[in-house]
Amino acid sequence: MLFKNLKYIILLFLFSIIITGCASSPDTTGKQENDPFESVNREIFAFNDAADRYVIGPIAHTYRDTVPDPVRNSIRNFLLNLKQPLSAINATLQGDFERGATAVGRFAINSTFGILGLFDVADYVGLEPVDEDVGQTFGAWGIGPGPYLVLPLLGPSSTRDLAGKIGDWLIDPVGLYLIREDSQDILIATKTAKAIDTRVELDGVIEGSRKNSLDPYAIIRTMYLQRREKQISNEGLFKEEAGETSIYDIEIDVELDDSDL
Amino acid sequence: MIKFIKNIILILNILILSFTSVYAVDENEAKSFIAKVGQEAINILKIPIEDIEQREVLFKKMFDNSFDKNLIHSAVLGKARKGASKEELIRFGNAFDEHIVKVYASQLGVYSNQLFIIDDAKNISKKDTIVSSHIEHESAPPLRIDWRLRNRGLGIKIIDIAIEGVSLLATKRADFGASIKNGGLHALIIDLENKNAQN
Repeated sequence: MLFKNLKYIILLFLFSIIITGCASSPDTTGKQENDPFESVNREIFAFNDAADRYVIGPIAHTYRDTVPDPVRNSIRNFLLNLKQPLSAINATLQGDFERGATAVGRFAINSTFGILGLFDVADYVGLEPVDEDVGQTFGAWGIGPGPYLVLPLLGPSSTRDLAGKIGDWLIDPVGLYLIREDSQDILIATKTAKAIDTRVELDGVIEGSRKNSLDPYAIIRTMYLQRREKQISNEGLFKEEAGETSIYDIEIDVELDDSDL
Repeated sequence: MIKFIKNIILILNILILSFTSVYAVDENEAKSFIAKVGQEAINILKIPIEDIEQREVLFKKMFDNSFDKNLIHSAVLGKARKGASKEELIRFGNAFDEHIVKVYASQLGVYSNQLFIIDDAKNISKKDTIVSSHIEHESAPPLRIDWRLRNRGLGIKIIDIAIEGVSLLATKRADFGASIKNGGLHALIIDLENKNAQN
């Protein structure tokens, strides 16, 4: 009974967030971003920044500096493989059946021949990685990002992507299987490993924004929103194939004096 | 007589406008231009990171020659440019250029057999052409780079770059927004000069 009520509450929450996303105009091209909660977001950003400087960053740097590259690559492959069933569902929900099938094929090949996904054998046979989540599916359905959010410890997000995160949790076959098998500890371990691996991947961006930016909060916000738009468009070569990315849309209609030539 | 002078001024204006108008960039020329810029960038990446001065010199040369700096300055400032004095704009331009050179000369990393591949080019409007390219490396996923080009009569110049969909112009606009909001262009110039002095 409690579980049923919880499901309804979550669905209601998701619905309200999606409505918020629909009502807001997506804007990721350097114009004024949709950030009505900026003051709260900045507080959370400052907290996350401190947590990263003193705890998360040092852990990630230790992991990067002590674990050999091949081992880290295998861990990254393993984590990506665990996400393939979720990616397959999302690619299919977006109407991209080819990539949906690719994700299924990758999961089957890498989980067996690739020894539980530690080796990306599927890439050698031409099945490129598929990385899709529910937030991207909402985006592909035309739902805008909605107000920008900074989540404690999880970092940049939007109302659409927050709803997407909850959606991921509700439909991820691997996560649901581990919960059903009472193996929550394995689930937590994989999520923690994924968080550290992502922090290593983003090290240049995070350290660079701290060192070089006048306003790291604004830089991270615009980079996150632009990057998500690109992920949703699934990077074809040109706009017709790819959907819109920032470089196509940013207005550069500047009137210059003759002396400015 | 006055009418005659007015006509002369009008004709001169039309001539000036025609000389300063935007020329369409040929797609093949655009690809060749980016191939040349890419080679220049690889040569910079081959310089050890410790030799930062040499990197900065070469990066500045590339930025001066291949980028439409005036257009970029104006696009980054947006509305903040209105009402600014010539001196302020020049001071901002100098601080911005130094900022870009310092950031990218140190952050671009070192060359380790990456392949720079130009994929295609396409005119997206009467003014602009986008060249798509990517960098391949055996131990990393491909990195896509889009280049937006325009010719305002100065030859082909880069006016924006997007790395994995993240535009340099949009990012810099966002970065400078708070300084401009707090104290206008003057505050931004001071903040940029302070940042340059720290780096």
